[in-house]
Amino acid sequence: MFVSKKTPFTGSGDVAKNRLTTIIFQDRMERSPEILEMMKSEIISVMANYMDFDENQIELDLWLPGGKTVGELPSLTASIPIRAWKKRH
Amino acid sequence: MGEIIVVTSGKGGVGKTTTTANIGSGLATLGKKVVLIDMDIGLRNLDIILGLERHIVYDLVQVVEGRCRMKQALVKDKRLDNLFLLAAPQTRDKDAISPEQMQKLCSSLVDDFDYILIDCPAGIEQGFRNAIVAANKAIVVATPEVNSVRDADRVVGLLESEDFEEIRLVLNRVRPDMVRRKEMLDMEAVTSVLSIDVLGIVPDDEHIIAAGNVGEPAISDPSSPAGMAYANIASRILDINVPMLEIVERHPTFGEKLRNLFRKGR
Ligand SMILES: Nc1ncnc2c1ncn2[C@@H]1O[C@H](COP(=O)(O)OP(=O)(O)O)[C@@H](O)[C@H]1O
Ligand SMILES: [Mg+2]
Repeated sequence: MFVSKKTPFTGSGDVAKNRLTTIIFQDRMERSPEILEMMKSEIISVMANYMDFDENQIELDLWLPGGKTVGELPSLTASIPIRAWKKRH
Repeated sequence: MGEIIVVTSGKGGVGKTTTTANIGSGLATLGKKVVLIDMDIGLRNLDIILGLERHIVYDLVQVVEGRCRMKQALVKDKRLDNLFLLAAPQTRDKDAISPEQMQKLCSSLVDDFDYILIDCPAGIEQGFRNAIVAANKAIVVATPEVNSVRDADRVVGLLESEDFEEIRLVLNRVRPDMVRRKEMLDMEAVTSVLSIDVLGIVPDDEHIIAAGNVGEPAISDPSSPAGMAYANIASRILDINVPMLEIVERHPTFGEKLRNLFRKGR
């Protein structure tokens, strides 16, 4: 009879790394919530060089992975409805 | 003027005291004059790791309160002539010393020693504040576990906001067999989230416990895996370039295998 050595914790190092990345990300965001606002205003100022858009319609969304799925990392999505191009570069 | 380095972690039980004792001994072995300050007031144990518990007459709070002179409170190590301990009181609480008093205490030592190493209590409250106030360099100790690294990140954030000049990581209790099986966070994973410089990696080693039994830091056996790791760390503090120790699994010798076989059979 063959006994598999695979346990529920095989590969748990990668799970640990994922959870750690997410937890630290969340901690730092909580400690300095102004970072999100700072990023937003910097993104706006860069984009404003190229495009025309309504600042009030910008949405930044932070997504944090919940489970044990390896490979899923925190992600930031920005939704910025664009009205028009600025003049050609 | 000497350097003041605090050994801290946030989380308890990850190896701050062990690290302080071993690095202090390592620096003293390399010829530096070193004083270790136990700031874990009420829970002192640096004296026990060094085997000096029976030599302690006065503690640092008594120095601060002017009840004894500094010279009387500094306990010389059993083995190394240039290593000293300033003990914590066992029966007082964290408020027995103020940050200003700690600052003054360290200032009074800084001209007489090359290194002042401060063993920090767990937590990030007043005891931590008192321990870090006089230092401008820090060694953050963490074990390769999610909780420990998270707390280390918190502490690094606090130290950065206090304008520390240098913050370096000691990753303690690494198990190479578990890393190989991918059941433990590896150095790469830890540094990628913490983004601080690595001072060294210390393996999980039974010599730490055996050495503690007799009141000697593991570094006094330089052939032990942890002793070797701590000796390398002490060298790196002196800017001696030592390559990072590859933590390799120790394969049991034939004799050990045989002994294990018999043990299992009992
Ligand atoms: N590298 C190591 N290998 C094995 N045991 C260790 C190691 N480092 C620390 N320990 C053990 O872990 C426990 C906590 O260590 P300690 O230095 O007292 O931690 P802290 O000061 O952070 O609370 C002690 O029992 C010690 O013997
Ligand atoms: Mg301790």
